[in-house]
Amino acid sequence: MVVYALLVVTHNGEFWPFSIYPMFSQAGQTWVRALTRDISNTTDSTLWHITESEETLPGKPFPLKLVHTHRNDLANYIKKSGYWDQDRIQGLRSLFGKQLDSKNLLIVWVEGQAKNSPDKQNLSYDVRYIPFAYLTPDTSMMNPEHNFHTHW
Amino acid sequence: MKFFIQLFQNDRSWTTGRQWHFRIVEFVLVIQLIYYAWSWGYYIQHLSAVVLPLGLANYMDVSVFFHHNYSLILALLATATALLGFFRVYRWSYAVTILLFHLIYISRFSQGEISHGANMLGVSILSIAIATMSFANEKEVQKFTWGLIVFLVGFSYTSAAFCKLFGTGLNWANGSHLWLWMHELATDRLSENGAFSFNFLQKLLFQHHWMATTILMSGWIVEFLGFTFWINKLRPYITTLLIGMHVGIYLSMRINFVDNFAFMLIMIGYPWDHLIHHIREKYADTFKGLKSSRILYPFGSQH
Repeated sequence: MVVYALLVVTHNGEFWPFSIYPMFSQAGQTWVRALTRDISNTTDSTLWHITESEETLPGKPFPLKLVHTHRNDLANYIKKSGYWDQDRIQGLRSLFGKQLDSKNLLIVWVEGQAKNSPDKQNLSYDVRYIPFAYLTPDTSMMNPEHNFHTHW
Repeated sequence: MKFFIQLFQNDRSWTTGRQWHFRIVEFVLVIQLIYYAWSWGYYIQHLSAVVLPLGLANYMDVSVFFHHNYSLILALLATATALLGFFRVYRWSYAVTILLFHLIYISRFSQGEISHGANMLGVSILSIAIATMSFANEKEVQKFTWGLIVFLVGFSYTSAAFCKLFGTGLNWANGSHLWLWMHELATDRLSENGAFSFNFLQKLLFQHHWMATTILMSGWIVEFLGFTFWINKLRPYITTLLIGMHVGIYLSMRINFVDNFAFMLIMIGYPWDHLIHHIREKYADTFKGLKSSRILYPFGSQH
C-alpha cells in the first residue's frame, strides 16, 4: 500500500496498474472530443466556421474505425498536445494512415460545456464544433482563427 | 487481525476446489494478458509521437517501441514470461511480465488517453508476481495472491467513490452531469462509427432528470460499498451489485467495462470452488485415478 501510494502521488495519480481512479470524479466539467469529416468532395469556402450542430459541418463523417485508430487517441492527441511542431503534425497525420493519400480530412474539436438552464433547476449544456486541422495528401493546416485551450 | 486472517484465507483450509478455482482464474488472466500484449503491440506500431508520458515513460523515451516491431518483441517476451510464470518454471517470471506489460501499456497509452480497462488484470498479475517471489509454498502463493487481489478490488471501488466526493462534492449525483457525459460519449461513438443514435434508456434519462440522478446515486452508493468485497460472506452480493453497476454504465453511457472488469468480478467474486467441489464429488468415478496436481501443476512444481 505504501508503494502504491508513493507511486500514484508522485505521478499525478497514475502509475499502471496503480491509479487513484479519478474517472468521472469531476462532474460538470467542460469536455473535449474529436470528430473527423471527409471533405474531399466539398468546395465550401467557410472551412473554419464554428457550428453548434454536427449536421452543419462540411463534408461527410469519416469513421475512425476505417483506419483502426481509437477514438480516444485522436481526441486526446488534439486536446493534450500543448504545441504543434512538425513531429506532432506528422503524428496527427499518422493516425489516418493511407487514407490521407487520397482524402482531404477536417479534424473537428468538439467542446461540451455545462450551463444553467432557464429554470435554474438543472444544468443544461452547449456543444460547439470547432474545425481544428485540415489535412490533405500534401498539406497540413491548423485553424489560424481560433485559440484552442490546450494543456489540459 | 481477524480481518486479515479471513482476507488471506488463513481461517480455512485451501481445498482442492480452491486450488482449481485459483488456477482457472490465473489461466484466464494469462490469456487476457497475452491478448492485450499482442493487440496493443500491433497498435503501437502505427503511433509516432508521445503526447502524455505515463508511469516509467516519464523517465524513458517510449517512442523507441513505435518502430521496427519492438513492441511486438515486448509482447513476445511478455507472453513467454507469463507462460513460464503460469507453469511455475521461474519464480521471478511474473515480475518480469508485469514490467514488460507496463512498458507495453505506457507505449500504447502515450497518446493522451488514460485507460483503466486493464488495471484489474494488472493488479492481479502483480499480486501473483509478489506472491511467487515471496513464497515457495504454492498454497501460500495462492492464499496471498487471492487476499491481495480481493483487498485491491474492494479498495479501488471505495476509493473511486471518495474521489467523486472530493472532486465534486455531494452534487456529483446531479442527473445533469450524466446528460453531459452521455453527450460526450455519443460524440465518441460518432467519431468511431460515423453515426450514432441514443438507445431507449438514454432517451428516457434525457426526459426524466430524477431518473438520471437516481442512476448516478445508485452507482455511487454501490461503488462506495466496494469495501464489503473484503468480507467472504458479503462478496457474492457486492459482486452482483458491482456487475449491475457496470451494466448500468454500459447502457447509459456505452462505456464497456463489461468485458474486463465485470468478467473478472464474475471470476473472483463468486464461490466457484463450491461448484468445483460439487462436480468432483458427483463425478468422482470419472475422475478416479486422475490426480488434480498433475493437471494443475504439469511441471510438478507444487510444494
